[in-house]
Amino acid sequence: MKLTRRQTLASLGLAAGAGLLPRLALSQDAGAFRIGALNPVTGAGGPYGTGMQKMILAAAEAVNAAGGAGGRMLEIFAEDTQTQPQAAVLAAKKLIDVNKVQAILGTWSSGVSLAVIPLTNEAGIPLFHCSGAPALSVPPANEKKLGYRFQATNDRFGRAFAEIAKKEGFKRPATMAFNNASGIGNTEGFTRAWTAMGGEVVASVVYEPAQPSYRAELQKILDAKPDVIVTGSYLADTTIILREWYQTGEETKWIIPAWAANPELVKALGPAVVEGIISVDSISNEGSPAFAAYDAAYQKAIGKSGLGNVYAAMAWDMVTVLALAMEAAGPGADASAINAKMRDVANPDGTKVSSFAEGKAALKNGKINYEGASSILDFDEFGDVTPDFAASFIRNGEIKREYQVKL
Amino acid sequence: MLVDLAQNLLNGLMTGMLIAIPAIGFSAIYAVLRYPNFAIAAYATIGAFAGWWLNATFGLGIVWIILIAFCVSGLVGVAAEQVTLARLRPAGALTVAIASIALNLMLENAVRFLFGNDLRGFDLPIQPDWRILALRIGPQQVQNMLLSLAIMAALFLFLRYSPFGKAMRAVADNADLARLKGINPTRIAVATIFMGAGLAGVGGVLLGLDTSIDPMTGARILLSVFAAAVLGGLGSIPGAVVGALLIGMAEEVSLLAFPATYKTAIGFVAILLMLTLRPRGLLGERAL
Repeated sequence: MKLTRRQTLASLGLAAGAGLLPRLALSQDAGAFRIGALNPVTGAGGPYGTGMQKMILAAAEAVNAAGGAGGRMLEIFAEDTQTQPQAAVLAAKKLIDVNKVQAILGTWSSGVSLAVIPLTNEAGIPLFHCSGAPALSVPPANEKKLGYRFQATNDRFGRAFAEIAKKEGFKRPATMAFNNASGIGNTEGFTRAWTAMGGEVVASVVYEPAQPSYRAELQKILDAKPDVIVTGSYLADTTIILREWYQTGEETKWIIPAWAANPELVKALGPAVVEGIISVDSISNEGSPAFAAYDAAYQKAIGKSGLGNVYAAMAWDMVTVLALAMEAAGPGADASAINAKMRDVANPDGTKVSSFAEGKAALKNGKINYEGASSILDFDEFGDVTPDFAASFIRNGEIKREYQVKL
Repeated sequence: MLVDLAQNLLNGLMTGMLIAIPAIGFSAIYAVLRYPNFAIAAYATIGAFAGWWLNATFGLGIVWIILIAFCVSGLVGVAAEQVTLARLRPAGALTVAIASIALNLMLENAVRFLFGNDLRGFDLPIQPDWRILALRIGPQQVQNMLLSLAIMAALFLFLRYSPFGKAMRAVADNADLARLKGINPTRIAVATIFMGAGLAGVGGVLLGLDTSIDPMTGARILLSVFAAAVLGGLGSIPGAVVGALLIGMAEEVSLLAFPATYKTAIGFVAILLMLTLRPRGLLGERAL
């Protein structure tokens, strides 16, 4: 057979077109279930967002490898919230209107989730988030019960802070909060729990993000002579505040949420500055098989231990539990039918399962209870989970967990 | 109360000295090229990262870091200017200003792409503050202030006495007249951008020394820098210094009277008041 030049060109064109075909076919396939991965790849959540997004992809791959959920393959559309409400709203609009996603997973920071949830409610699709603001539990934000929180509420964090402050024998706490729903939620949760215990908060300040210096804010707090400062803060601002605090030579102790008091903080400031800081976190479900599966996927995608990113474990669970609910709801189920199955596949009284494949098989024989990588993942009436907390102390540059706190 | 006021004024003075360097860069670019270049935030970030990289990799000392960071951000600035902004200049200042915001985003994300989002600190010991009477002052702050003063002095001498500096001022005063006198405007533009972006980079290093660096480092000071330049008179270099000191002190002192959440508003209020009451700024437009 002899090809003319025109035929050759035409066949090359076809071949090039064919390369695009599988993708086109997949994205136009009415059977694919579209998921928006809306994560904080940049901004204050930057240290976590990439890992979260990669775990959403990895968990979706695991679901697809097991033959899909409810007869459908998962397709992921990734976007960046920039940890900023405005950017997140634009991205969510694009995901809903252009990509026609049927669920949005992995928003981080309460300001972002509070901004996005009206859009997902309007579209009638679920929003799974890692944000702490108490307002996300109740109407208006969660009036349609489509919001699920995979992270502890800030109020629960605040209560954990108060338990730890009491256990450590502090008498004169002060608070410093980043000016957003999460930061203020933390310190208000603490203040509520602490005053309920009969204590008094000696000073408090709410500060603006992205300042070159926090000396004046710090001065205001230190003037009240607190013995411990409890923060609702993020990594970048915490770094600056701690550096400036250390320079003052004051002997105050610190209780800081773990998304700010993490290994990055130690790296940025050096062990001397962060010595003795108490870092409080909700605990991933670390001994569990689901955590092991997540950890392996995290190592493969990021090359670091999955322990360093609790939100990536939550993101992993988001996909898995959504896929299990899809499987339980059966082929062709819509968002509300899937939503109705969430607690059926995650809460107690079923066969305990640790992965999508396992759950898919067990669903044939009745109810299941997914025990997640991030927590045992039992949703209360508000769609909130109650993880346990841990107090870790930074000593010689190492963050060591010393005890657990159960609320 | 008096001690608090003095302490806040002192802190503000330190912050102001830090903002002054990039503010001079911003004003110098405005003086010669007649547009506000918002990409200086990215130049500051680039300078900070260049300095951090030199410090972390080769353990270089502060003077070397500043010199090299100046050159790196200066060169990046010139390259970015020539590739993108320069061809937009005929379309007017507003177009270039908007494009510089886009350029800022692109450069910031390029830094993010190369270095990631992690926070980094310079490998320098964090020293406790000195106590003078009831006031606290950090050795790092003092060092930064001295460095800022030295840079300002060098800059002053350069602009005042070197032929290039004189040419730059001539273009700033009257571009047409300068061209008639045989001064090549393109060369002056390139040199100004190099100097302006370089100064922003040095500002980034100083800020990084005192705090920490990440891709948002420059964005943290952009508003203050812009407010300082407007306050002092866009295009005026001494104005930028005065404006920076005033903004720095106003921001800190405001905390005695208002909640900290309103601190960022100071910059905006300053811009608003200045543009309403005295649009040419405190020191007018004379470059030097």
